[in-house]
Amino acid sequence: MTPDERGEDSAIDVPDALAALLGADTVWTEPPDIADELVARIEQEARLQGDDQPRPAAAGRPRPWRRWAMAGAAAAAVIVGIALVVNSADDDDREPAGVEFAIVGTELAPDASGTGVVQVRPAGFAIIIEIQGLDPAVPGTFYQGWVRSDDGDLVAVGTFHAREDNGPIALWSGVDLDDYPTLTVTTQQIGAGTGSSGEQVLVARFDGS
Amino acid sequence: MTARDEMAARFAAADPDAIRDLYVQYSGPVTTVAASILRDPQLAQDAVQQTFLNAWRGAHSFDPSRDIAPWLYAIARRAAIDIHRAEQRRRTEGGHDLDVAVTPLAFDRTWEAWEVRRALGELPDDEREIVRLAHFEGRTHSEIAALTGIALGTVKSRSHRAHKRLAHALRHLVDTENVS
Repeated sequence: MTPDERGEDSAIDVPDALAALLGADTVWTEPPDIADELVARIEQEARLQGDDQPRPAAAGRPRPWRRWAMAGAAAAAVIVGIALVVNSADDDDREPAGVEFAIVGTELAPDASGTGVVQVRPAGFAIIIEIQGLDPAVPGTFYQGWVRSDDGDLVAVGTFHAREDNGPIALWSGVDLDDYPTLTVTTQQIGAGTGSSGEQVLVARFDGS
Repeated sequence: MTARDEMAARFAAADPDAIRDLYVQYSGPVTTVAASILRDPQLAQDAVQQTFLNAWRGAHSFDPSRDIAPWLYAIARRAAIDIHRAEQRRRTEGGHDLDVAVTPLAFDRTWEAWEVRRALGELPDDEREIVRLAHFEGRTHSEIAALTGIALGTVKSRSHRAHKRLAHALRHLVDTENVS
């Protein structure tokens, strides 16, 4: 019963249908707190869209990743270890050279595995991964990629749901992967905050160690 | 150019920062549409996120000289329906009976719910809270006064102003009897 119906506010004429909508819980449902996550994901996509061609490295002594990427076009296996394969830029003129790495599932996703490639971009590192055997994120959750330093510092590199079949997933790191050599993927609850849940489902080392 | 027009123009230019402004302005109505169609809070959250991602990905197709609300509403509704159908398929493939609420609020009424949410968002906080207490919680003015510690006369005057604003903002729905 609205105040109108109780005769307390007869000056206000609220049509029944409008009153019904004003009383619906959906009209008062709070939106999820995902603005930061959205912006991060969109900035990531924007960078990848804007950086689809390799550009020269900055002047000065190149960082190790940049040296790897440049050398990758000429001498792949010399530089990296057993788990690393350096793509030749001659393989596909549309793709910049990159360093490949293997991804393995943890005990939370033992059937999952995949490969990835790191591509050096002017503004950071594109981490393109392809995963098999990973269940789609259940409703209310998503997968979050992280890069981790050997000291345990984590930097978020992007989110995905794995709900579309077989497509590569583009993650983005603005930090140098020499300093953050481990990739992990965790399951996160929507609205549960921006920190890692600690529930790792995938792990990889960019340097193959 | 209003702030809203400026935001729409930045959005159409695919400025990532504009998505935050868009979210502040429209996450409420988008949530209302998603929750109206899906009735599952987690699925509704997914739909909200997908709406804004889809909107940004389709920003090049948005004409900034037009009102962004109907365009965004269409994306929100489509995102929620897609998730609803995907959930139906998932449950059917899993051999379970469908227990998802199908259309608790008919799709053709989601626009009205969107507009009501937008109108509520335009109210001052104190007036919106009185409308919420009156309509959502079903409280009388006397009860609202006792609950909030605001004088009964003030409650009535705020309620009167709020309802006048709502009637004005939603006159296009009421006049055409679309709220039915």
